[in-house]
Amino acid sequence: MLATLRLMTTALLVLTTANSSQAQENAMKIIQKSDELMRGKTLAGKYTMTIIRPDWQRSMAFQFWSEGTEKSFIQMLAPARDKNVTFLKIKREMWNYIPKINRVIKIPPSMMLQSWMGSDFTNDDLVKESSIIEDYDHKLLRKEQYEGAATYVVELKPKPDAAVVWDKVVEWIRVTDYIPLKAEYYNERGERIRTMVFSDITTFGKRVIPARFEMLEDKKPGRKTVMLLEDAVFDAPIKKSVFTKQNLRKSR
Amino acid sequence: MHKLFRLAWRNVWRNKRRSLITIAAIAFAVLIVTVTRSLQYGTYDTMESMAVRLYNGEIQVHRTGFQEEQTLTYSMNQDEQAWQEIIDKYREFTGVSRRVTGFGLISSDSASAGALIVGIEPEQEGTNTQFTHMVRKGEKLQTGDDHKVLVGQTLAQNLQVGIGDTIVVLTQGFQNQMGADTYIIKGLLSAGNSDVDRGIMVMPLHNSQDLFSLYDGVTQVIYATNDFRQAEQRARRLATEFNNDRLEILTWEEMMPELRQIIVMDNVSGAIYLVFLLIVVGFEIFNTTMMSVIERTREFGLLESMGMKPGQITSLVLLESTMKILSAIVAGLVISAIAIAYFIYNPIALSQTLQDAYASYGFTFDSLVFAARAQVFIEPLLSITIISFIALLFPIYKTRKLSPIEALRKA
Amino acid sequence: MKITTKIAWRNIWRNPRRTWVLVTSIAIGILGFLGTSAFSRGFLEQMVESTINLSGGHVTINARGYQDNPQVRFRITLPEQVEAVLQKAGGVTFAPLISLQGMINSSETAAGVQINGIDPDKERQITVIAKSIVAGTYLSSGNGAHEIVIGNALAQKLNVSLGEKIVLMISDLNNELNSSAFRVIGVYQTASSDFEKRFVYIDKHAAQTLAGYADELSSISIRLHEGLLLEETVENLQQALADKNLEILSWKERNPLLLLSLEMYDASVVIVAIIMFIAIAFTIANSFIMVIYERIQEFGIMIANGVLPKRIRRMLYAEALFITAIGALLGFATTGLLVGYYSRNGLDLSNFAQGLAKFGLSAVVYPEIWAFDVMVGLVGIVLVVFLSVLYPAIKASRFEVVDAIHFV
Repeated sequence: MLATLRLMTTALLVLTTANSSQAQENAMKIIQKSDELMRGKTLAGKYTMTIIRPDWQRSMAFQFWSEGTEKSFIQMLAPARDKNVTFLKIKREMWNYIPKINRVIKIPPSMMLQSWMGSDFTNDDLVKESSIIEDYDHKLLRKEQYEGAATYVVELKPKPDAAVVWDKVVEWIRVTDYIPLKAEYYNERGERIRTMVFSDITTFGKRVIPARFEMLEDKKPGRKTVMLLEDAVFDAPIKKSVFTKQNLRKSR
Repeated sequence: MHKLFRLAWRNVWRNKRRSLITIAAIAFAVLIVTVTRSLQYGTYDTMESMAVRLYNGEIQVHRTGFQEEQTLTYSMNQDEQAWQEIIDKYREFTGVSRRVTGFGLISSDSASAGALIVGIEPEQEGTNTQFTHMVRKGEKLQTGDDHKVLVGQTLAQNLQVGIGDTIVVLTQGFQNQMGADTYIIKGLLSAGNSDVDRGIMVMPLHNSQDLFSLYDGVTQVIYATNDFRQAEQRARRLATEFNNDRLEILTWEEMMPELRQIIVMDNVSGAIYLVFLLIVVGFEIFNTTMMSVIERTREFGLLESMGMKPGQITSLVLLESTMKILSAIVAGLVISAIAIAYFIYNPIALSQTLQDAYASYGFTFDSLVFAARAQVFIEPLLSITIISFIALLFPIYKTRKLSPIEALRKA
Repeated sequence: MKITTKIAWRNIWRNPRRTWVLVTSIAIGILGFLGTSAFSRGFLEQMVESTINLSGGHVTINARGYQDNPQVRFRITLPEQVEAVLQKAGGVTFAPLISLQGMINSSETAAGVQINGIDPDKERQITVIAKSIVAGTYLSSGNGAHEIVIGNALAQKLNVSLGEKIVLMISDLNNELNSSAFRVIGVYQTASSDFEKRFVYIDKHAAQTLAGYADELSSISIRLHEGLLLEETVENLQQALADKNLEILSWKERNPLLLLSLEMYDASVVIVAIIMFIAIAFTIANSFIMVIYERIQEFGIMIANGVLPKRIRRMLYAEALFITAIGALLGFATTGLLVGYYSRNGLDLSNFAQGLAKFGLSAVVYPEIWAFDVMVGLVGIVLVVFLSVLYPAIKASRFEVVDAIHFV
């Protein structure tokens, strides 16, 4: 799903900096390889998402299409009351169609930091551009055993001018196949705010990737959002008409 | 002692003119201070109660945490408390209304903007608070209205919509469920405050409950009482009555600490006027008593040469003065009460421009308000009594220093 | 006449106790009247100041439409032209402002805010934000590209401390999302937590970059120097800038409800002033009447010795005139000292009530003596003295000689 992918790529993708040291170059390679694995040219897939709160939980399902980082489209499948609600994202703009009122609404900046469909992801998590990726410096901290596998532990540090709230992000990536296992987001007091955990490593076509993503808010115990990738097709061409405003109303 | 008392009484009446001037001076001081305080308190009361009743109301009941977070997670079930029972049980609670407050995105065909969405019960809300009356164009909401809304005047202008137009509202409701619906604009609100005018939308309670997936839940219950200054004590009564630690009960003072401070500021400025006024009337009293004592220096000399002890003379003067002061204060209070009653029943009208200005914000405020609570009378009573006795001490001290011969020779 | 004046002058010093009673009653009257009017002038001024000191100054200039719909597209495109007009007009201090509706984002939560881009040095002369810093420092010109000052209540809500990072996000001139990271270098506190939650301050240039402005501004805040009339200035500016499609608004137009409560306060002040004056008149009249009655015997003897009643009246007026002059001098001197002290140093109301401490700067009242009040006070008091001497003087001069001598 959009959000997860975006968060993951945010965390994983780091472009080169000019005078990078040997260690940094290694770290960059790790991140690049991990990113290449997780991100296809295109993706069409079905997700289920469960929002878990201390006193309630709710599940939903949606179909997802994306092309690179710039375009994506979501169609809600369940629950019934949200069926055929659609979202279109192109670059940093986002539109939403609601069948009940038969309107297309452009999501304004003031709504960008609101939760997407009630999850722990915000609308902004969905539309964040890859420019943010260029804003990180990265460093290989160490290698260690994690979840029974040898992993690289890579630290991503936002550049001073980057519009990123985190002080740093730390990633655990499997040495053998560059599969990401965990990402931790820290604030400037060194407190962990968010944790993403990747699991259920599954084969989709030629790709072996985690199918289950969990996002936890460390300061709000009992809350998490769990995403399950149920089926996915990578790199198959997607019709241009999918990523259009017309499609918001049409798709059902 | 009894003899001295009789002598004092006789002395007071022997020189009627002198006594009456003193009594009149003190009574007048009491009158002036009382009327001033009454006007000050009356004005503050009116302005403050207007501020309290503008939007927040006197007492609000929420799910604990709502005040801080302002989210729908903190909503209350309809039947959780018998809100209405309080009204039936206690006379001092004069009204109860329920509200749903949340945020949403309001869109027209041409634009969209974020706004505060308030779901109200038109009739009840209208008696508890003022803002739903501030309709500039179109009509107010009424009980039974469905999918009709009031929109801030500037918000409507920014969305380029008017009375009768349809707008779309998009929200995240209870448990973050998506909510969306369309409504027809019935009226445009203007509270004279640009933030409100460009950021508020009011709809019937049941529509807001649907929009926010709240079923029959509400976020706030608002109580009006017969005296907003007693809100704290009334809030405690509610707390005892509900006995539910998942509810937070807030008075207007807790919701609007700034207002509380402005009230304190008003009181301080009122007190500063009072100090100036007391200086003037205190001096007046001092002057009158001083003169009437000194005028009688010769008389005291005579009394002393006839064998009266200086201590007795002091007691005599003290007694006489106490009689005068007490009767003056009683008279002053009676006259003040009559004067204040007069102003309450025959109010001094405000200028027409001021009246119109208030009316345009839905307030009826057409005359100067005089308050008649105990404070109005107690403050002058205490301050004038103290000042009168202080004004006495100096002349008495003076009489004690005179020798009889000197006193006889003087004047 | 000359002799009457001499006698009057000698008379008033013949019994100094009596004279001082009268002199002080006048002095106290002047102090009471001028003291209250100076305080209420200062208090009203303070109420206005505490509002305009937080934002906007006396007058603001912005693009037409901005007040109702504060979007990026409503902007002053040629600020240097407006500034030139202001410069030429003189008598004003002004500061540029870029205000953007946006979101502030910490690692824990987000909130909607108004982002104010300011010229730190110029803003200092318009609003009190620079003086309201309770932790860290205020913005400084030239090195503020990524520095932000936020309110105390907002810092708590976002859970950020000094030196920590937040991200601002707005929709820029091209309707595109734009965001940038800032470090909290200062935290300010005002009387209002709503204000603290709503306004954040960054450097003007940083705000222009965020908004996609070149050197455009949202508005210009203007503070009028002493003696400049508000309505007149607004009118002049409106004429001078008529062709620029701008809105020029005074604080009155920006705060209609404040204006309303000020007018209400003003109305009650007039009533209180009237009451005060009645009290003063009573005191003075009482003193004069008592003193004159004390001297009735003396007048009787004078009449018995063939002094014309007219002379007695004249003598009494002359005495009253001297006493009023001395009393007025004394009154103005004490008022000048007392009010003068507080109008220079300010009267801090928070000394009288604990609840006001948080008001900080805005709880300080600077009493103002207006020439108008002095005139009203002086004329009123002279009138009161004249009237209170009139009746007993007429009466004194008409006493039957025997009655007067026997009068005790």
